[in-house]
Amino acid sequence: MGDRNDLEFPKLRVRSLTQLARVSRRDALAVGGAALAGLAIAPWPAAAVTVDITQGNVQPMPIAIADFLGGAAGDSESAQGVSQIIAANLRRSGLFAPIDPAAFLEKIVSVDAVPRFPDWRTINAQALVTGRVTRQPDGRLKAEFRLWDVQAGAQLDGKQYFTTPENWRRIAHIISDAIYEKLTGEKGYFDSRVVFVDETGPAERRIKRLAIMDQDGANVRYLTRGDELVLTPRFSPSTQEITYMAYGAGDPRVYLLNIETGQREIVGNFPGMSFAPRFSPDGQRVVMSLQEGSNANIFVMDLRSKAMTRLTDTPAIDTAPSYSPDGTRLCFESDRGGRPQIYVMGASGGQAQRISFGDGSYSTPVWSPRGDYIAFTRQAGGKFAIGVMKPDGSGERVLTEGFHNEGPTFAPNGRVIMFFRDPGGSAGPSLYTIDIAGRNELREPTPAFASDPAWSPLLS
Amino acid sequence: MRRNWIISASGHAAVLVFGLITFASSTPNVNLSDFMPVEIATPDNISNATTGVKNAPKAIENPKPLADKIGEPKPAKELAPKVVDKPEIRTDAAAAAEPKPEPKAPPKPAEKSEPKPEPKADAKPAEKAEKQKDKTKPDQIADELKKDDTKKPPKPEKKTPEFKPDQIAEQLRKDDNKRPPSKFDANQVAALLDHREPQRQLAAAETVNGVAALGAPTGHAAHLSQSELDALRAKLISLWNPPPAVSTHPDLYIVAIRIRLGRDHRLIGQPEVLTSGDGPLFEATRDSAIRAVISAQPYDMLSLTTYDVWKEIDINFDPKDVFGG
Repeated sequence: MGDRNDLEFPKLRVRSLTQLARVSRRDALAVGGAALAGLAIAPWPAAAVTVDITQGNVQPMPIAIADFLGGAAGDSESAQGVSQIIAANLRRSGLFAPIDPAAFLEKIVSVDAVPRFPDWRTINAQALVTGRVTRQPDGRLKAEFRLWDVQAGAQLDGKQYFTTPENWRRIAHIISDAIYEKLTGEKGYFDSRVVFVDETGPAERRIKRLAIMDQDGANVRYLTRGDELVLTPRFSPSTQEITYMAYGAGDPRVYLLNIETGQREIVGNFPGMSFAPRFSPDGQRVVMSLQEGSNANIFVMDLRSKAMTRLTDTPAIDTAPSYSPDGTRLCFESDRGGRPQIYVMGASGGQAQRISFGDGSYSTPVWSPRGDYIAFTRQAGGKFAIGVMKPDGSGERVLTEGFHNEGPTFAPNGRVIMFFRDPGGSAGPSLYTIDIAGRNELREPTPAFASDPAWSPLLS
Repeated sequence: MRRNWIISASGHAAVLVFGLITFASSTPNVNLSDFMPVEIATPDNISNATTGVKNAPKAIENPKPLADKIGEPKPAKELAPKVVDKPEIRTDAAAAAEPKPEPKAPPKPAEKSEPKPEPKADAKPAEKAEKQKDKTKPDQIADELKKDDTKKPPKPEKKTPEFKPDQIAEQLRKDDNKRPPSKFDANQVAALLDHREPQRQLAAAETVNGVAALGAPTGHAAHLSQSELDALRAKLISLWNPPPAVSTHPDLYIVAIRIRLGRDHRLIGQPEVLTSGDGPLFEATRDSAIRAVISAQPYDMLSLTTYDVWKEIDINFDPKDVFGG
């Protein structure tokens, strides 16, 4: 990165110098012309002062989200709901600070009129969102929004969507993603869902059901009845499918479940398996760890043909494999060096490289969908921490630490991690989110105790 | 006993000498990396660092012309763009006897420029031509030279409306001795002017006199003072909120913006983005920089006395240190 910095800087300098040269030449011509006309020579214009700003003031961006207008009287409720969901999403991301609507000076009465920017500057809004929800003659909802840059006094984005009335929450998430992307330059993650293990009942007779909800905790649905013990659901990065493990009477079984259709199939019975398989980025294969005596090794299985390929063959426990987003590499946990540590190897096996070297043991590595980090659980000194490191092992940092934190999963844009935390005692686990800088830790609302979250890809 | 004394004394002496040498030469035990070379300069030092000095009392009293090298005094007169010297030229030209008096011209062209006034009889047009030449400052001459050498000669003729080319030709035919050279030969004029160019950079006089008076033609403009720059930077830093995603590759998202400011310390027109890039992250970074320069208005940390310096500012927004390096 240092090299690239060195390369980049001269390039910029050159560009600005040519700019100056161009100006100088133009001015030289002007001066020459003046001289020919027999006029007094004007002084050469001073070269532009150049100021380098290498620091900033990173803070949640103040954004005003005006109540969406209802096209008809009956629409105003869902219209307001949309703007409230947008505000909640943006606030939870930690990158935005929605302004209290009570402070607004201008009441938006039309989406098509240009807002009075000075009024919004007065309340220090950097951006403004206006919108409207209208019911169409065919019964569908039309939702439209405009995103305004208050300082520049210009529209940054404006879109409209059509959907069925039940889907109004999703529309709000999609608009949130559009705003997020425009202002942060990255894809959002609001139009996504989370699969988790819902836990009810007393600790000794805990009922564990597979459940799915929107990323903001709304629309909880149960996917299993609770007659089996379910563990470690994994979302496919490309399809609306999950794998999970279920302990019935005998060996643990791995299931493949299509969330849209509810169709479920058994991938296989795998004795001694402790984590469900993870998908390859294309969703066509799953990678898993299978027990062989006292050892475990990593295998990849084609979901169509069910053909199994061995990737490691070591007298150690190799487990918890996870693909890089480009599908060329795998990270996994292995105790081949004594204690469990994280290793990276090619997707077709071969030489593995250890990337974690800290105290304690590392487990459950998971590769970010952006490819820039690997999240892990680290157990050291009687505490469990959630952390991230770069795929080469550098830049390791702990995001949160406590009695028991486990099972990190990345949001589709790789900026936020969800994990579960068990406070111990009679209380059960619950889900939390934290951004990859270790800021903005928030509890995820769930109906009961919850563990083993798995974040879906973006729905749209 | 005595030997013991000697041994003891020499031993002590050795220790003292050793200590003297060692401790004197060794540097104090401090962490050098904590040092930072500091030069104390008041804002005035910087903003007053101009080549031309406004209060230059000596120069007014100093009779010597400003000169960088010893040489003929003539070019020094040229540096003074006033017409004071010209009456002398006129009279000399009318007399047509003395070759020297033309102070402007170096020896070579002096002969050719001498006859110039003669054909024009009353010497007025000549004066005109001279005036125009004198008015033109050295830079202008250089500029004109570069553009076209041949354009110059016909000019003085055109500016004497009394004499049409034909008339001059007639007069020239009458006086055979002097007239041929009085025609402006392009090469000769070029030679004349070429000689002036170096004089522009190094003025020659009998003595070297480096005292500047009331600002030299080559004087620099004032700088922004350090406190103005610091205040400008601080304001922009406090207002720049780049998107966090640039932290992965900050070097790819450097945005250079040019702003133009009016005397009211506010932006003139829209900020101009000098760097190009694409993708939503570049656009978001660019927009964050534009928001910063817009909301930094008014730029009242900049003093009006240096307006010419800050009427146009290039700002490089480089996120390299925003997220802790």
